[in-house]
Amino acid sequence: MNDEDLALNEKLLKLHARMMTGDLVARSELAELALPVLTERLSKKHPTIFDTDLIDTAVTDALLNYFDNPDLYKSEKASLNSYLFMSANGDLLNLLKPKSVERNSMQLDEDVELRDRYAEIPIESFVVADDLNVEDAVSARLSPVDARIRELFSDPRDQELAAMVIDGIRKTEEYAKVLGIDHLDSSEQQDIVKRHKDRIKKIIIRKIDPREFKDDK
Amino acid sequence: MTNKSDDRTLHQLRLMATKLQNDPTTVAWIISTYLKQEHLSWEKLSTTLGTTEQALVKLALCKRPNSNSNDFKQQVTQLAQYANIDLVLLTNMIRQVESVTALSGKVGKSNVTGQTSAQLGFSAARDKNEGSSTVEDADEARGKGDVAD
Repeated sequence: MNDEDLALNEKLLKLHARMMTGDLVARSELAELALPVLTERLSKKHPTIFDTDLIDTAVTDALLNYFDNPDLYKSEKASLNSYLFMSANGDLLNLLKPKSVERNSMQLDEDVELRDRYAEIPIESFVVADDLNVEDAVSARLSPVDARIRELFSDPRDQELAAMVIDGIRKTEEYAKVLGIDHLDSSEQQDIVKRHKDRIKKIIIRKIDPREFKDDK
Repeated sequence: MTNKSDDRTLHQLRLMATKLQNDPTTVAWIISTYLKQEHLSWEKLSTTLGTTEQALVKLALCKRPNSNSNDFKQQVTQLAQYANIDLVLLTNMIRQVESVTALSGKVGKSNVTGQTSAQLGFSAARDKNEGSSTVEDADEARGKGDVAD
């Protein structure tokens, strides 16, 4: 770490400490200081990304997540700059994932799981018949679910998590990537992921009437 | 920083402020609610508050002061100094949003004396011109057409 980085980290740490004591303006100061640095680092790491919106979304989401849970940052594990960078990088990689292909190629019977109050139970999928137009089938069967998810969860990250819960994805690492906490140790990841999954599932259970998707069958 | 990166940082700060506008623990929520109440744009509000849009966006990212706290005055003073905004105007904006929001379910958008939220805002500006410059003055001014107490 060069002198410049050290000085930056020192400033960020002071702002972090102020945030933790409830200082009202510290997070704004921190954002103003960190945004250009994170943007530059992320742009350098991904020189082929020309869509600046993706970078902007990743760095701002990383900061907002940090603001929501500043206590998750442990100064003994990484510098705050690195922590924020890893989080932003995780967000960016997630944004770059070919979501539509990945999600739409999943189990076409996933909407069944929405009707199941025990969404944690994985449901085995069927292979789509060869002669079936996968795109049409996916669109016809999953769009209402996706639309409902978007209605229920305004935060794109929550939408992603909800889709994963509905998809029956169980691996903590997958959720950790979405949450940008994959740099944390596994027990911490598990705790955080569980909290988020429980929250998402509660909302789904509370807000979705299992009967509303019956016509999609 | 170049102007270009300044512009981009401002854009990112704006993005964050937008994402925070539904979070009542932030000043972004105060500003957003005030804009809706007064049918103002960010640009117009920054002019009204005598500040720049950049300062207003930075202010939006701050945590909301706690009006029930004994430190409320100090908290608003800190925000006003940070964003270089007149203390009285800022205090009135916060008070108005809290009052109107609290009452919106009871007496609609005007208070018991018939004064609208916009009028409350104007009274703040008027009081400023008359020389009041402290939170106490702002509170007193607010008391003239108060909706909360």
